[in-house]
Amino acid sequence: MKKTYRQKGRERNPWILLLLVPLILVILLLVVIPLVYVAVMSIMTRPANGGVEFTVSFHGYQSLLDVTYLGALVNSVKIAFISTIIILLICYPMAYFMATATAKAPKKWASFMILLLILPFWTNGLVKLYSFVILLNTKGILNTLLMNLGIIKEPLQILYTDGAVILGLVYIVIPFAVLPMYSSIEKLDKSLLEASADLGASHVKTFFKVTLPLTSPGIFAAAVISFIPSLGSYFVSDIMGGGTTLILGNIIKDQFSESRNWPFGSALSIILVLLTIILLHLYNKVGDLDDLGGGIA
Amino acid sequence: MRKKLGKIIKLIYVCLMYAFIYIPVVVMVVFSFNDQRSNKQWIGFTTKYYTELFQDQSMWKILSTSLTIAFVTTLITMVVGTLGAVGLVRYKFRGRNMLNTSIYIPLIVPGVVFGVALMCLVSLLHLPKGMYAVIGGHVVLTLPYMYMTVRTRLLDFDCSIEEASMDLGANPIQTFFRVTLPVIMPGVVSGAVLAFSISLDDVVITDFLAGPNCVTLPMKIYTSVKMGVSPEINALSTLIIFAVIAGTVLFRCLMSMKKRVKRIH
Repeated sequence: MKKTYRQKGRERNPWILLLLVPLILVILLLVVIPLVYVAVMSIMTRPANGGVEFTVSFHGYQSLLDVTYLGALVNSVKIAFISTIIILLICYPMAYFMATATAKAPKKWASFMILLLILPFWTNGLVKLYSFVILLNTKGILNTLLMNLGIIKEPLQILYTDGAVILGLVYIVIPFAVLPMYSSIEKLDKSLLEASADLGASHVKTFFKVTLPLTSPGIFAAAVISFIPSLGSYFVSDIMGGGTTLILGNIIKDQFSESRNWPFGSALSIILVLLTIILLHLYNKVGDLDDLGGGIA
Repeated sequence: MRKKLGKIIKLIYVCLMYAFIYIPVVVMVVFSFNDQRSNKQWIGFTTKYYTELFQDQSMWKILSTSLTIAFVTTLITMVVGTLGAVGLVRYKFRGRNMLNTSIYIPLIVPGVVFGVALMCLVSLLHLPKGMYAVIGGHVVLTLPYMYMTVRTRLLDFDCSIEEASMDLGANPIQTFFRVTLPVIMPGVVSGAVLAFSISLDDVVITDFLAGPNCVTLPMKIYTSVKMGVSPEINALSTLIIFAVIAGTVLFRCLMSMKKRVKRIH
């Protein structure tokens, strides 16, 4: 008879806690302590020549309300939000079609489709973003093509705009968004859909009242997985936005290089961490943390 | 009729998405043959950047740095993550839930925060930036993935075989290596593969911890973007992706051969 750790319950053998020592050490040294240090720095002061000085002050957090930064912060949240919405809108159908296509086909197809989805992400993300630069710059492939076809007279300025940054942010997250939604849709009990149809609901109604609510853990996972990196992936805005569009990650990084305002940078980081924790907490109510990896595992 | 239309629309959508995902890859490969150092427009076909790649000492050094970091990171993550997952799944203790949740933190909190945090810690403790610091940062980054993949396997595998093993006289260590590990091996392997590729690809944490002497492939690309990414780098990336494709195909062939052999026996 099959017994699993899920059902069995746990042992209380203290010896085996030894197994956990390396893990605990790593978490403590490399996760907890650094984050605590950042939290501490966020309430310290910035000395005249930059860095951090260990006198308590809340200036770091006050700077958040500073007009110069507030605009950039709001814009960054806006960009992250738009990116997340776009990702959900384009990846859910993809996940849905993949799941329904592979439902009837042999199992090989499913793993092949997923492999095909993941394979490009074996290439370095930066090189791919740079490929977008080649494609979209004013003398690039797209503009040359459109001009040769006579569709436009002057090259379009696509790069170095908020839109280009959004494109980059959406692009890098696609497989991480598709997989949890795919996993959620695949686990859907098809008989529920049949029942809904039997009870007289149209396809559309079934979709909105049955499918969507039941796959919401996957959707939420995809949203969480896309939103937070959209705030932090500063290399995307550097490459696609040319440094004119700033996202939260840029601002934080800047505080630790040019501006040398460590307390402010730390305050921003702490806000980001808190936001993450809140989102994770909300997610825990809807789904299982174990599913966050979706099809990754 | 309507059903067929629906099917066609689905097919087109999926193909368009795949096209969107693959276009930059195709551009990357094509432009590895471009005859222009700054690689901004297509000038002409050449394979000289491939030959340049093989002769470029600094490129080899960068590649070896990246690979070394990835290897060591993966090794450390494998050990820590697997042991940790076994410990957390099996044994009950206070603070278990908290530890479990805290492992997921690096998964969601952006790399910037960790990069910043680790960099400041490193400078506070007067430790040198460089390869070891980067490895530390990468371990943090990859640990949740490894932990997750192993944990998934552990939760659902039939643990009565472990009990059987111990009933037959094996001690816990033997049981672990001969019974548990082989069963969770797919989880360990996929976690390792994931960890390796994340480490190889990371730019954010590396940016903060590498210092001037440790140049990894993503860092090199990042710093080249302003001046134009040389076709040499495209060439390297093209070779990498073909290596991955070849590796995957090989792996699958081996797996199916294994199955065929088993069937014959």
